Amino acid sequence: MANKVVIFPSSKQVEAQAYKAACDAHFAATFEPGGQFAYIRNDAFGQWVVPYYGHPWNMDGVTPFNPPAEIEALRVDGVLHDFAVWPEEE
Amino acid sequence: MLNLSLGLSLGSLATQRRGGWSPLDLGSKLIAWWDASHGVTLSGNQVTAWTDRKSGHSLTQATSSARPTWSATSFNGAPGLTFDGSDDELTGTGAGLLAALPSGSSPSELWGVVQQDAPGSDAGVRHLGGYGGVGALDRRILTRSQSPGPVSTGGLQFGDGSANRVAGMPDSASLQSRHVMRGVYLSTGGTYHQDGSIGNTVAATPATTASRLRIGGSTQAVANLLWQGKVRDYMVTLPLTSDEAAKLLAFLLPRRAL
Repeated sequence: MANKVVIFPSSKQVEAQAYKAACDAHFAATFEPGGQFAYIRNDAFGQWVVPYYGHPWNMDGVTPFNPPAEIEALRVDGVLHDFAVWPEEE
Repeated sequence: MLNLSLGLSLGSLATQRRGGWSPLDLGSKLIAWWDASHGVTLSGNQVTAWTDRKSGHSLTQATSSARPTWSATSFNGAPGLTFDGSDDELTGTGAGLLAALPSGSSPSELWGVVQQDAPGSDAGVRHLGGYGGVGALDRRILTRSQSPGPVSTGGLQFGDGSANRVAGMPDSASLQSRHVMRGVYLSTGGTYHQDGSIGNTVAATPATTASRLRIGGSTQAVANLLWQGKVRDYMVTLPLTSDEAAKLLAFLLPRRAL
């Protein structure tokens, strides 16, 4: 599923978790009961990565999805990127 | 509330076919066959599960943003799963699947009918899929990497317990577009094949741990080295005879949809 990512500074774990939780809650309420939209992972630099709940992600590959303003507000501490740089192999 | 969880099942697990040779005719030599035309469960256009045709082993992805997408025509007009190269992957950890996978130095083969979309300028190694444990030293996997040109080339990797072993095609054999990838893993080493041409061999003894099978990324606990492109078929077999391999190749080559 093509999606962008929101990258939060390493010092903003709480904010990243709050954004993820809001995305998951809206996704579960709107699209998939009990479902989960996002993960939260560290990138190669120790920053917190959460998939962006918005374009180009959508549910059916056709219908544009506009994220609610209250969820958009929760990613103010993060930066929108096209991709993440994941850690090297274990 | 809009519920787009369709739970669409595309075909049965039964060995229904119209006639002619099928990979299911490999019998006990076939461990699992994930076919984009069968056993795909969708939520919207997102793949939540992909169930193999042989024994019903399921690969799943619970997180929406990390699911590949499915289309009836994405593989050049044929059904295919699209992996975004960012975070999409499907993982199987079922006890039945893991018990069926040859581990340690026991031989096996991995086959894939794929479309590789990462550009030649992409310096990253990307994993189509395989099975293993925690990292590079205990897995078997099919890969895409960058060779001089730069071009994307196919290959295999496996761990022997102390090092990651690599074998691929000559640099001139591009993996761009659609191909049949085959990795042969024996107790004496691994050999990579592409579209029926034999590539390089690396001599070593696999030391494989079967903790998970994954399509779309590495086998470590959190996937990385993610596949960018499409998958129509992915298969695990026991070592095939020349005749069996020729029949399987003849079946899969047209599925490249060139």
